[in-house]
Amino acid sequence: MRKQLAKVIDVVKVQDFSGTAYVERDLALIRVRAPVEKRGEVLELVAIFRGRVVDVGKTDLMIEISGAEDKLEAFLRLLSPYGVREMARTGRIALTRAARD
Amino acid sequence: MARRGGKILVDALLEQGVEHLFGLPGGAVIALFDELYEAPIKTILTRHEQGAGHMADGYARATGKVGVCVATSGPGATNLVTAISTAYMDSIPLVAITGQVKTHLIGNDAFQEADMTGISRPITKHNYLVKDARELGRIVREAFYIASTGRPGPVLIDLPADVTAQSVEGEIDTAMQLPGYRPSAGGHPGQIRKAAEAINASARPVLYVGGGVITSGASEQLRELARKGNIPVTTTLMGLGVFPETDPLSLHMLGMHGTVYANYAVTHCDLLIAVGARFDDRITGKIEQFAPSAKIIHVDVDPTSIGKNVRVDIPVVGDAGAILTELLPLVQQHQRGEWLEKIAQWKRDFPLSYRRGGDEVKPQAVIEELYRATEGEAIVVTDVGQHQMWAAQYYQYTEPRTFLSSGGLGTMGFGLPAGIGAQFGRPDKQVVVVTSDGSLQMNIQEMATAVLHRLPIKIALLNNGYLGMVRQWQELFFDRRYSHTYLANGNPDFVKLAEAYGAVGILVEEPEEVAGALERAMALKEVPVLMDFHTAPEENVFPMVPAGEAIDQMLSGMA
Ligand SMILES: Cc1ncc(C[n+]2csc(CCOP(=O)(O)OP(=O)(O)O)c2C)c(N)n1
Ligand SMILES: [Mg+2]
Repeated sequence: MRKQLAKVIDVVKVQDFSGTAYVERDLALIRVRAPVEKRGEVLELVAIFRGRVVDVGKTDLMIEISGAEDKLEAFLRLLSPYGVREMARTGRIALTRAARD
Repeated sequence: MARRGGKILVDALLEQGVEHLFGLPGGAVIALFDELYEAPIKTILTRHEQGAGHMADGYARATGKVGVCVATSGPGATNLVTAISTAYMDSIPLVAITGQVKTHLIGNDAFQEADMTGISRPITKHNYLVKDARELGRIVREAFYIASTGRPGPVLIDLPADVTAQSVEGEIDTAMQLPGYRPSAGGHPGQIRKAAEAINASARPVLYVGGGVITSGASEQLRELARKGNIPVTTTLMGLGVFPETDPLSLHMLGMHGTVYANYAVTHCDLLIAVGARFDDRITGKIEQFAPSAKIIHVDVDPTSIGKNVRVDIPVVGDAGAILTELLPLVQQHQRGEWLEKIAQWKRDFPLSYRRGGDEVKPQAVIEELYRATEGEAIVVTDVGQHQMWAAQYYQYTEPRTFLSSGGLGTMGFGLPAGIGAQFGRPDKQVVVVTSDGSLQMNIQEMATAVLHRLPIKIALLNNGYLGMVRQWQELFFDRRYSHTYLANGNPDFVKLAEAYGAVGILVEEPEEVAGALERAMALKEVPVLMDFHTAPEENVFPMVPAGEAIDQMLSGMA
């Protein structure tokens, strides 16, 4: 797999993070239905997951959230009963941690 | 001084030393062909773009240089796909230039638009869509460099018509920008030492050699290694000629239609030294029983080839020539008398053979006669099928780049155009295309190209009236149900067809006419000759390892 990736001419370098310390994130922008009577509940979820509201409409909110993939999955599961209308997501991105000492 | 994109391209090709170019024009490349009108590059107009692709490929195989082909956008470009794929599977350096619709029309389903970078992604080593003529100089340089280094392969340059017409003032930067491309060079010294130790400790080694050694130009080093260590050598189809088959150490070809003794030697060896070969399923048969008692050394320039199909004990990544040169002084002289005696016994007990005599022309006999008539010095180019295997088995190859065949993709229709390309590249050599009635008709139109250029190419048509290789499988594994493999009732009169193109046609129906026909053909210069040998229709290729069986389980067909 690693060797196959390295073979692609446009790939400059391949690094395998497994077995090393690294930071991993997944970023999503989510437009969710949130009419006035449900808005409080949605905002509470956003707060618990440390998301941010980045756009407010009459019946919906746009939320920015980042974190590990499973955190996003959990958040989405909890949001889905309200109705997720649109979403854009980066997928997992990662960098290794700086060496200690 | 301003230059147009087309001129920049032609100048860049000249800088790369391109002397021949194979192609066919159309709307999207008309301006490029206008530049070629007076350029000092010999442009060969083919009758089909697939022909152009295979010619460039055959040219590359015969000379070791990069082959270049050109086609227009859309259908012209898609006609190149089989040829590009053929080159990709056999790691042949090729640069394919395709016209594209104007940049602002891309994605519009414009007239004659096909997404060539998309289509060619899985069948090229790399590809480019040129968006600005100022990039062209750099792209051409990179394309030739990528095509010809590391594990070679085809590179496609898709060139929109407006970029060809674009006028560029002044100098352009042509420096390569390939930060991610680092082809492997020499092998790891520690691994080479380990390989040498394993070789010195081995009582029953076998060298299993593929086309990679030809690519690397390492035939000499290989010969030295084999002779110093008394190591028998078997080659793949792609490796034929890299080690002289006339040498007592030669085991000839291994695998599905390899010799019994090569397959026995691999099955019984204690060390298998694979160099520039990739353990294809046509070689290994049932993988669990392939070289069961052997340690495996695998030398290959492509790290993704190693450990892909078999477990490898000592991998060595790098250029075969560089690695063999390092290895040679570390390998001790060795007699290996017992092992060589055992192999000699297998050779006596199980030689390649077929039933001679009778009143039919035997295809194997034609190849044997061809070997005599050309004194073993021809470049033999084949199509795909039974005739390909007979050409591999019954001609003795002694030099690299003298057996050219579509090994990986197995492309029927390769032979004639590849032979033409080879003859352009090696005018000093006799090129012989060995083909059959099915394959020849897949690119027969290139007879015109051969005649036009007065190429002295010889076509040995082993005309069995069948899609013979498929018929053989039907006979052996499908109860002789010959479903849609009979050709004879629709075949043209190939002698008349050759004559219609302006070539010479010779009909051979009797065994005793074979030698004379070959002699007559070889004497004719400056004209293609087609010899239509009406061969035994239901002759089979033996030995044969049925697909999925262990390679020592061979059918001999002589029972
Ligand atoms: C383009 C293409 N189509 C189909 C096949 C499958 N195929 C492999 S061998 C063969 C028969 C070849 O017939 P012919 O060229 O007459 O050679 P023969 O086996 O008779 O010597 C076929 C159809 C192929 N290899 N390539
Ligand atoms: Mg046939």
